[in-house]
Amino acid sequence: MKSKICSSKYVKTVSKGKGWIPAFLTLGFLLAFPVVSLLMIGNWRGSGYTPEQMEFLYENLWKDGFLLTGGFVAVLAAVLNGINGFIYLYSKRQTDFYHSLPVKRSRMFWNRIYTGLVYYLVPYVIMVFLAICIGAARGFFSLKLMGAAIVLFGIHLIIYLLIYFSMVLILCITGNLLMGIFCMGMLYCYGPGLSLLLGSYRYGFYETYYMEKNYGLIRFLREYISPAGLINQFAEAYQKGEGTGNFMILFLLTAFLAFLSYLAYLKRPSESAGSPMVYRGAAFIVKIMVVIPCGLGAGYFFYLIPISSMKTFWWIFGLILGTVLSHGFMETAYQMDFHCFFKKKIQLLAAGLIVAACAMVYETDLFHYDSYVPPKEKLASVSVDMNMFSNNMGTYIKEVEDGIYQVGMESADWDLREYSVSGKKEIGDKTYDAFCSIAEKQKERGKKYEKGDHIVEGANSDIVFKTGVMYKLKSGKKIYRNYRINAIECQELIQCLYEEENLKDTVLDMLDLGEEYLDEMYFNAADGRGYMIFQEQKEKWTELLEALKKDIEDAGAESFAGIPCCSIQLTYSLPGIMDVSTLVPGEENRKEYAYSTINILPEYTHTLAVLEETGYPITLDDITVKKATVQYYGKEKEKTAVYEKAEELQKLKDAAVPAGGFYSWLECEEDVSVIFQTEQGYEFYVQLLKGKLPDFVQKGKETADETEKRKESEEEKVSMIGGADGPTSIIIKPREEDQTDE
Amino acid sequence: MIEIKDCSKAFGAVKAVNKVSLEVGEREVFGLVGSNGAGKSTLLRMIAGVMKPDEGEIRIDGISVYDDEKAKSFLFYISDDSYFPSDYTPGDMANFYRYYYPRFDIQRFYKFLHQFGLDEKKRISSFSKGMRKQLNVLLGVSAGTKYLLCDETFDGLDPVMRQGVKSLFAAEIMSREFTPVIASHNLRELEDICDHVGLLYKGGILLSRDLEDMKFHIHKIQCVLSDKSQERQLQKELNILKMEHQGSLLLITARGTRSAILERIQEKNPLFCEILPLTLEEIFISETEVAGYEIKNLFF
Repeated sequence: MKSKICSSKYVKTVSKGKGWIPAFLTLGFLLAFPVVSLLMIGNWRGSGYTPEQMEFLYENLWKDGFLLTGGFVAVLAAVLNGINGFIYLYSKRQTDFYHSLPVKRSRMFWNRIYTGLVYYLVPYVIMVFLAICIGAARGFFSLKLMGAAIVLFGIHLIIYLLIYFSMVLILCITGNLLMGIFCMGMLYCYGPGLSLLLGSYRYGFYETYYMEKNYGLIRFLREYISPAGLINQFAEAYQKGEGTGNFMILFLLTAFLAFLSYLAYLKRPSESAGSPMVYRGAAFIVKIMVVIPCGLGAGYFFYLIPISSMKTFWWIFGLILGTVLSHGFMETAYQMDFHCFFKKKIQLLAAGLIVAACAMVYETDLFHYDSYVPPKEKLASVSVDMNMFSNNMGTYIKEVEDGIYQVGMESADWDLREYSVSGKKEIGDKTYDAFCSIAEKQKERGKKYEKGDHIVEGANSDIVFKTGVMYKLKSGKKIYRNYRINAIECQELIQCLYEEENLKDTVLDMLDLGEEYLDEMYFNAADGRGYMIFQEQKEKWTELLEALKKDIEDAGAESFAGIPCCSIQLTYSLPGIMDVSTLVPGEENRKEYAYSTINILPEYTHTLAVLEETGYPITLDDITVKKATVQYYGKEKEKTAVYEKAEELQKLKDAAVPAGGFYSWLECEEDVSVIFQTEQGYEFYVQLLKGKLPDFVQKGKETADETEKRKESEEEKVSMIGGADGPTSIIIKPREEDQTDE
Repeated sequence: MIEIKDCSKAFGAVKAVNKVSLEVGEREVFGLVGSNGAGKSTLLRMIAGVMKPDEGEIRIDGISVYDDEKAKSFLFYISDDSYFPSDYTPGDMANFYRYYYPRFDIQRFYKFLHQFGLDEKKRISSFSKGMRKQLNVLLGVSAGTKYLLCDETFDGLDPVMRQGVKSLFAAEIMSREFTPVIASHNLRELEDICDHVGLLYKGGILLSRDLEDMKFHIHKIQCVLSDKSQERQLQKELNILKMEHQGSLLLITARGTRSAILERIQEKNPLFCEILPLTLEEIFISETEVAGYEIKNLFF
């Protein structure tokens, strides 16, 4: 009998009435492999790809396209086969029928898996074979392709088994369809959902949470605590030619799920058909797993709605409501009776206490999330988002093969550039202390400034901006923080990083690419205008780059925190990796573009000497200014003053920060700006350094401030008399002297 | 032999079967009777190896039945609410069971189908409740197993078919080792077929006896006595379970052998005397009343 039950005749007998499953899967795999193959090859031909490109694309189809289309049908097959094989456990009649048969439970389990596999594999193999034949007929056939097909078969099989066993496990631990769907949803969405909740709480309650990057627990929950997340991770890695580690994780998880479902099937009492949860322990765990996030989630929802100081009240209300409702619904689902909504009060109380404890962790920042900086001895490197920090930066470039480069996204891949903590040019104590000091101030600073904006202006006239910092530990763990930094802290950090030569190296690395790949050199002059320079004189590029290298090497750390007079932007065109998504029909070699902006400091004498040859203004002194319009910004009204005297204009030039850059380490006067007008009538905008304001500007600013203060005090007076408690029709007239002043 | 030792099964707070000990001998028809909720189906599902007892053990020919292929191959279970895979015909069912019961006699099965007028190619889903019950019995008999467990199988069968099934059982018992275990809430259904009866009440077994044995020791007599004093004398001399009057006719249900009871009555020179056949229900009334139970609490 044992051999008979694994025979094709047996499969045929038990498949009576279920022939639609293999038929449906055959149709699915037909669409997934041969049809996609035909469509894609036809499209490539029509788009004008070269034979080499088509071969590359076809090879990639077996890695990328078929992984997706075949994977989709494999998932569908797993769901159908899982349901077909084990849904009987939900029916008392069917359970009695199958479990009374003289077969051991263990063998019945494997028989059902075997039957499901037959349904899946037969159409799969036939359709993959057909796709290979189609490719071969169009001239695409090689051992490499066969290898790719076999690898793809293995991957799809693992995906099938993973989904299949997760289905089986859920069917074995639940007793009815409602609970089955609920638990299935939980298995696949719990990790990502919890990750979203944790992220929301960190965003809502912590000042330094870096939302744009997924890391640590949040990333782990999203990518690893869900079979779908794992498959997605693996697919992404596999398309990049990696993924062995992810495949091993998938394999181990599949084996684990198979083992769990086997145990759950063997131990499942037949009488549990129809009851929501089969195992009491699992029921309790599921309830706790649902109630706590639901309580916290509802709390957060109510926390977001009000904009008043009642936020905390509504948050607590939401926490209680969410906990009670979710507990009630779970209990109702377990007992299949609405009368049980408020039963098991002790469990409800316990869940409520856990929710309260979790909420308190965030409210009080119990683990000092905002001020935490990893101990220096544990740090491997630190990355800083220099995009907001200093524009003396460029795209992240990595040489992946000999002469082939990978270029990062300018703004998103800042964390790829790591400043090493140990080694020759390490992050020193000064830099580390600077980070600690910044971290220490975050809680207080966060209360003062509004969230969300990248650059925020403080109420005390202190401009702060947000920048990302990544601490990489020696264990490989990454910790991201989003710090609000002011100009003084920024200056200190720049000096420290240049002192330790980390930043210097970053700039020099870019210059080391040389003029071979240099496409354009763009000069941002002191007047804020941009010019292409030496486009036809490549030897001048070499000369300028050499001069720049020498100047950067010679410059002291304090110079980098000084005032740049102009900047240079370099555009590189580098040989890149052949990539399907960016493949252009007919293009032989793929190009990657990288950009670098380098501030030119007054100390860069060699560079300035070369730049002088361009004839463009290098410093503000090179520009003849005819008049300057100073704008004073009050709270509601702007005031403008025009200065034309040479002496005044020179004083303004001395205090000016050149246009064309964002120099976050320089403290500028935010209530005052200057528009210079050149002799030629061209206008450009500059900011004035704080503490270096000429007397006449200071005076003008103070007058504006006084007017501002007067207005504020008038508002105060009115507000003292008016309002709900007093007569609302009283109008306070401005005093006589105020009127004369104006 | 099916041996049930101190078997218990609870569903939450409800104890469906409570410390039941029972033995089902070979080549006899065993009737398991009890009202709704007495635990018959639960006990039968445990005997079939579908459910595992919380306590105690069930052995089929010495082998513990739960999750044991060999022990389960000795029995065929027909549940009260039988399941047939969708789109299956009787022929498909026979093919299906052939893989599980190596002694399944497919020729005999088709012969039975013809005898009972069932179409082998018709979908079972189109069969009536009674036809499905018949089909199940035919499948069970054809499976060639030693034990056939029937849960309320006769419920829904018309008298002709019921008789047909009874004859089939009798023929099987005569021709091979065959022991049907029939669970029913209807005593009348079992009285002309069972050799041995077990009575379940609230999950426990009240009694388990051979029907012949019970019939041998309890008799019902109707007689007409000439004197009232003779009636009082009989009450002293016989172990009377029940005595009632129908006019001058006296109906006595008494324990004892037929000859001993008749001898006592003949001594009184009755005007008329005869032994009446006892129904299973009457035997049960007598037995359970002795055990301290009111029969109306058990069945009605």
